[in-house]
Order: sequence, then C-alpha cells, then structure tokens
Amino acid sequence: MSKSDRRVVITGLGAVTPLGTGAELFWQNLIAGKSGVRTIQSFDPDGIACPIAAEVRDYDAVKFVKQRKTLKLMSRDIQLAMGGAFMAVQDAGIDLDSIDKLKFGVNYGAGLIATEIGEISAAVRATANSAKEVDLKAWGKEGFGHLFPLWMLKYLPNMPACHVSIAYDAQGPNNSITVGEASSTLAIGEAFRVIQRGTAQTFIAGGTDSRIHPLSMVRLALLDRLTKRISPPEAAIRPFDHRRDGTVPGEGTAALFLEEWQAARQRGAKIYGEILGFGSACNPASPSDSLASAIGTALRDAKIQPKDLGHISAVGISGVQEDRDEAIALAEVLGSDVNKVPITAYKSSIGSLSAASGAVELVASLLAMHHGQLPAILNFEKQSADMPKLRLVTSPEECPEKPFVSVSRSYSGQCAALVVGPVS
Amino acid sequence: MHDRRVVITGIGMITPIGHDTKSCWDALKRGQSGIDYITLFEASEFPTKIAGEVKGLSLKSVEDLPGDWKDCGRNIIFAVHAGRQAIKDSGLLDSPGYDPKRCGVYLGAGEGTQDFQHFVHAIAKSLIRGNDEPDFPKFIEEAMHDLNGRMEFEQEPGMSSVHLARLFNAHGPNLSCLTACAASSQAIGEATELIRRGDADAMIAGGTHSMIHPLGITGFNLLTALSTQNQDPKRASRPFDKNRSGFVIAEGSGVIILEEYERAKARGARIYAEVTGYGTTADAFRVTDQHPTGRGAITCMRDALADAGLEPGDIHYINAHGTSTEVNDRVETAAIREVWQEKAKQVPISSTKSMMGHLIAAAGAVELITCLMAMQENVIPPTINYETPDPECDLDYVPNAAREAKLQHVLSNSFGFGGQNVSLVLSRL
Repeated sequence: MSKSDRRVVITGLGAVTPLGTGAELFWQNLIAGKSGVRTIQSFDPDGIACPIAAEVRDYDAVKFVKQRKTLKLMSRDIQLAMGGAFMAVQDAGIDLDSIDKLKFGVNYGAGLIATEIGEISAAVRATANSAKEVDLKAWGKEGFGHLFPLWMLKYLPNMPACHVSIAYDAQGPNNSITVGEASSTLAIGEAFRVIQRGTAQTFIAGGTDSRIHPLSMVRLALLDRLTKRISPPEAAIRPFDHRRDGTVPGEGTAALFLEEWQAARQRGAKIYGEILGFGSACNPASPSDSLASAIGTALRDAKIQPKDLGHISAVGISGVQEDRDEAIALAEVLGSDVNKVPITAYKSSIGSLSAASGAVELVASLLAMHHGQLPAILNFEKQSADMPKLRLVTSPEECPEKPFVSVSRSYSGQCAALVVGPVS
Repeated sequence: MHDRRVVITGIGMITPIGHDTKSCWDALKRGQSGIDYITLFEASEFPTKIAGEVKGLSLKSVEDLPGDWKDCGRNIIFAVHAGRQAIKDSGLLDSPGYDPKRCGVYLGAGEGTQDFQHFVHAIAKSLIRGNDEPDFPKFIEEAMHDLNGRMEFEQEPGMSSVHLARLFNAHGPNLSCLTACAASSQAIGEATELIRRGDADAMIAGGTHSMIHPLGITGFNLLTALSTQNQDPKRASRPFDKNRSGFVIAEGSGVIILEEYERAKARGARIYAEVTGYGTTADAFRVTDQHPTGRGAITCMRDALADAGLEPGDIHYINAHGTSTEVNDRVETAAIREVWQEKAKQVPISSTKSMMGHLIAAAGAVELITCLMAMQENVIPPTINYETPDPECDLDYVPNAAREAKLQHVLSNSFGFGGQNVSLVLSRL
C-alpha cells in the first residue's frame, strides 16, 4: 500500500437483476430466498439441453435513458447498464453539477456481446445460396443495404461505459474490462485504484452482461458448462452441493457510485461501505492457487486477517471442478478460521451474470452488511466429499457489520477479489 | 516524480510490415506501406477491398510452444508471437529471483474472429418462415452441430492475456481491456500504474487484434469509417493529407515488458526508456463522433505531460493517432495546437498508420514500440502519402521521409470510438 493512498467509499448502488430492478427489490427477493431461474422466455430455447436461465423480466430501459433516440444504439447489455448507472447516481443523492467532471470516471466489466440474429437475418437471406451458404460477393454487393448503418456500435464492449460517460458527462478515466466472469470485480478494483492515486475523485463502476441469447447459450452448451438438472429450474444451480453439475446463465447489471472519502463525508453522503483492498492473479495451471493468491493479496492490501471477516461472497458457479478448486482456495486462505467465516454464494439465486457477476454480488454483500442479514445458498443439501469443509450459509443468518471479501473468477482462470467493510 | 519508476526492458511486434521489431522498424524508416488487397476472405465486392494483413504467418511460428493452437484466432497467435519476442528481448524470466506472482499481464486485446460462415449458415437455415424472422430452435440445432465450442471460447477478448500468463509464467494481476482503438495504450498505462503502486514488479503489456473478417469490415464500412480508395492500396492511408478518406484497417500485435526501474537496473537489463506520463479521459460526447473541440484529447495530453512533469515544449516527437479520417486528423491537430500553442508547429508529428494501417486495439502498442525504436536511433518515422496540405492540418507531419532528431521525450496518442482518449509519454533515462 502506498502512503499517499486516498480512501474510497461507496455511496450509491444501482442494480438490474433476475430478482428485480432496483437494489432494494433485489435485496428483498434475495433475502427471502427467491430464485430468478426460470424457463427462458425471451426466445424459444428448444434444442438446448438447458432451456433455463435467470432473465431480467421487469426492466424498461426507456425509464432510464434520457435521450430516447440513443436507445436504438444500445444492445441489451448497454440498455441494462444504463438502468444500473441511473439508479446508482440517484441513490448517491449527489448534485453532479457540483463535482469536477474531469475527475469523474467510468469503469465497466463487459462481455463479448453477441449480435441480435434478427438484425442480420435479412442480409443473410438476401445473400445465401441454395446450400444456405452466404456468398461473400453477394454480401458485399447486396448485404449492406439490409443492415443498420450503426450496427457495429451496438456491440462494442466499451459502449456501456461510453454511454454512461455521455449520460453523466463523466470526462475522467474511462475503461472497459473484458475478462469474462472476473470483469466487473476487476473494473471496480481498478476504479478504486484510480481514486486512491488521485487521478479521479468520483466513479461509476460496475458491470453488465446478458448471455440470454441463442448464440451465447449455444457457446455455453458446447463447452458443457450448463447444468443438466433443469427441473425444477429454481433448483438447478447448487454451489458447493454434492449434486451440482453445472451453471445457469443469467443477465443483469450493477453499478457502484464511488467517491473519495473526504469528499463524500463533506457532502454528508450516506456511505454503504469502504473499499479496503483489491487483489488479482492468474495461474492457468492452478485455479486454486490463483484464487488463493488474489484473495490473499486483497486481504493484505486491506490489512485484514481472515478472523476479522464477517463473510465471504464466493464465486460458487456450481461447476463440479470449479467449486472444488474454490473450496480448496478458501480453506487455504482461511486456515484455522475456516470453521468460523460464513461463506455464501449468490449465484444460487441469480445464476451466473458473467461479466456483471462481481458487481451484482458486491451489491448483494453490501446490502447484507447494511441490513445485518446474510442470504443463504439455495439448493444446498450437503457439501460434496471431494472438497475441504467450509462454513457455508445454508439458511439466512445474522451478518455482522464487519469487512467481507467478494470473489470472482473467469472460466479461463483470471481471479479477482475485493475487500469491503464498514467505514471507520 | 513517482516513488517507483517504470521502464521498458523488452519489446516485440508483428504487423503488416514485418514479423519482428527490426523488420517493422526498417520498413517504417524506409516509408514502406503494408497495405494491399484483402486475401483473408472474398472481399472483391465489398466497398473496401484493402487492408494491412500480416502475411506469411502460420501456426508454425508458435507450434513449438506448449498449447493447442488450432482453435485460437489470429489475435491470439499474434499476441503469443509478439509476447515471446518481448520476453526473450527482456531476459526477464531468466533473471535471478524472478517471482511469477509479482509479474502480471495487461493487454488491450480484441475479440477473436467470429466463425462467420458457420454462424450465417445457421442463420440461413433458421429462416424457414418465409420472412426474416429466425426460428431459434432451428438456429440452435444448426449452431450446436456446426460451431466448435473451443473456437467460440477462444474468441473471448480476455483469452490472449491468459495464454501469455500461462506461457510466460506470469501469475500476478491479469487484465484485459477493450476500449476500442485506445485499448492497448490504456493497458500499458494501467500496467504502469500497477507497478508504480507496487501491485506488481513487472508487467507484460500491449495489445493484439484482427478485425479483417467479413463482419469487421462490414461494420466499419457501414460506419463509413474505412477508406474505399481501392485502386492504389499503398496510398490509401494518408493521415493529415487533404485527400484522406478514411482509415485502412490492419492487424497484428505489440507487446512490451514493463519493469520497476531499480529492479531492472539491478539485474542489468537493457532499458529502452521510462514510461513517465499517462493520461486517460473520455470525450463524454457522442458514441459516433469525437468532440469537435477535441476536449478529451486536450485534457488527456495535458494529463500525460503533467504526470511526466514536463511542459509541451519538452516533447521532441508526437506519434499521432492520425487515422486518416477527415475528423480525427483535423480534431487531433486542433487539440495539439491547443496544448502546444505557439510551439505547435515546432514539434514533429507523424502517423505511422500511413504505413502499418490501423491495428485497432493493438494500434497503441505497436505505435509505442515505434516510438521506442525512434528514441533508440534518434530517427523519426515519416507520415507517408502526404501530398496535398490541408489548411486545417497545418503542423509538421514529417512528410514522406524519415528524419534524424535527438529524442529525449516523446508522446503517443490513441483515441477510440465512444470518445476514449489515452496519451503516453516516454523519456530517455
């Protein structure tokens, strides 16, 4: 830790999740033990062995985008992001005219955004031959006329952060992290560092993703990441349980409004928590080492011992190997405190929100600390025998107002951890 | 001055004008263009038929390295190719006391090339209703049959940085960003900050990208961002020239090794230069256009100079973003004029995109390596195809021929769609 580091606090939360739009509605459904997993409604998923997902069902982007005409430039991922950012700014209760816009940054975790098939189907139809293959000469001659001129801009992964920067005139550092399921934890961690070093004073940081798309679902199915336990849908995803067999994809977004601590204090802001530490690591040959290294680094950065932790928000993606790797890492990091620190896994309720996971899960843990209640891991019967025993939260319990760790990991092995605690 | 200074101790690149740093640099000094007709797919009826392709690259260039490369896209192969040059050049892995957990990776990396033919074939087969409405179960059936899961996974933009971590034993922070055409400069800037703060002692940083594929060219053509001057490919990329008409897309990778200065000095590493300044801002204006005054670019260059503790007049060369689009080159010129004021005409500026084309996410990294070579030899690479002055672009663009100049401090600009701006300052030790 550098001597000159400034302190960074979280003063606004915004979320659009499979358990509802708005951080408070999300929280109420989460602590009530509800699941967001259902049969897919937004397209006919027949043909995928896993036709279930955690979709966002109550979201209307029009409420959150002031310049309505820009909506047509926004893919689902971007539209979701706009809602999360709007609510985070509103929740912060800040007069944006009062802040230095050159020191106002944006950082989002984002994914590879798949194009809407209906947007290019006309071009495909016009240029496919009798064997249903697209002739590129025909595509070059006739395909373009069937495509939206600004098509590409809907799908660039930096566009969520760019649209947010435009909506709030955030002219400071602006980045988009594309590291799969670790993206938004890394984005929030980087925003934390940028404020610590003084390059920015205020940030909107978070993540957005939707994998509820035929191509994205096919990709997950081909990689054999999805559960085969599809009935009932709400019992499908079971982190650390002995009957887990794969994940369930979801969609959503969350944004955190971050401020330098003194500035937040001076304006009398409501403070949800302080970011205390950040760590990341990647050793593709050993996922458990990478996770332990990222968590260990974040704890040292925060100057926190495992015994000081109030809870851990685990990755808990419900993969056979992935959860085992994680349990090994958590046991290693916690050492003799492994029986004491409660561990929960929100994916059991909302599925894997991919690049948005870390941000949405961090919001869940902040609200848990705020409300003093820790949500349970749904669908948990017993821990499988192939992993170290953890102190898993199997029914809601009291959440102490103490620092917690939020952990993320991409399928390819990039790991990130944030330590957040009550402001002292 | 920062407590922990960051220096560059290794470089590697692959671009349309060469497969290694030396051949790229020799071509840049000669003013050689790497632009030609597209061969990677049938583009003869596309509005744009030209690009800067990396020629003669095969899996052979990486097949001696552990890994299964057949499902990886060109972007990953490029990153591995450039990464191993940089690692070898730096000698980092062989240095005593090398700690994998203190070395990370940060790339500004593009996504892999979509499996276009299989994807559109599945769409075509799903159009069974006699209109443009796809039948999703039919699409899913076809896509499940035709697509290769591993190949789809390798398209994730974060994959290149994982491969580098695995190959080069770098187990520290691992990030990948995709801020359009500013991505690899941003990655290098943030990697520098990781070392400055002490979160790592060394970082493998840079970028990689290839968008020379049907959907890539289609997307940029629809935005009318690409030059359609197909008749004379080598003259199509003409930054700051009055008759410029759009950028020319290219592909490749640039990777550098960043190290904490005291550590690099102690192990006797060759030091190319110090990264002294980093600035990053957003236009926050429109996703389609740069801010007309260049407000984001102006702040970003000023921030980078302030970070380096330098005045505009201290800079001996600017490697411009210089895309050869009407708007970028005009706005970038105006922004430089605003920051440099009366000294604007005295600072040599060139756009090496005139020769290499625009490598999108990888552009900033290969251009920063160009700056390092320029500092090594005290030679400024030219802006080629500069023929007709534009009254709105009235600065010194080092037209058409390389120039000798003593280079102590240089600045490199990268700007991206959506209003992303990054400037980096390099200084000789």
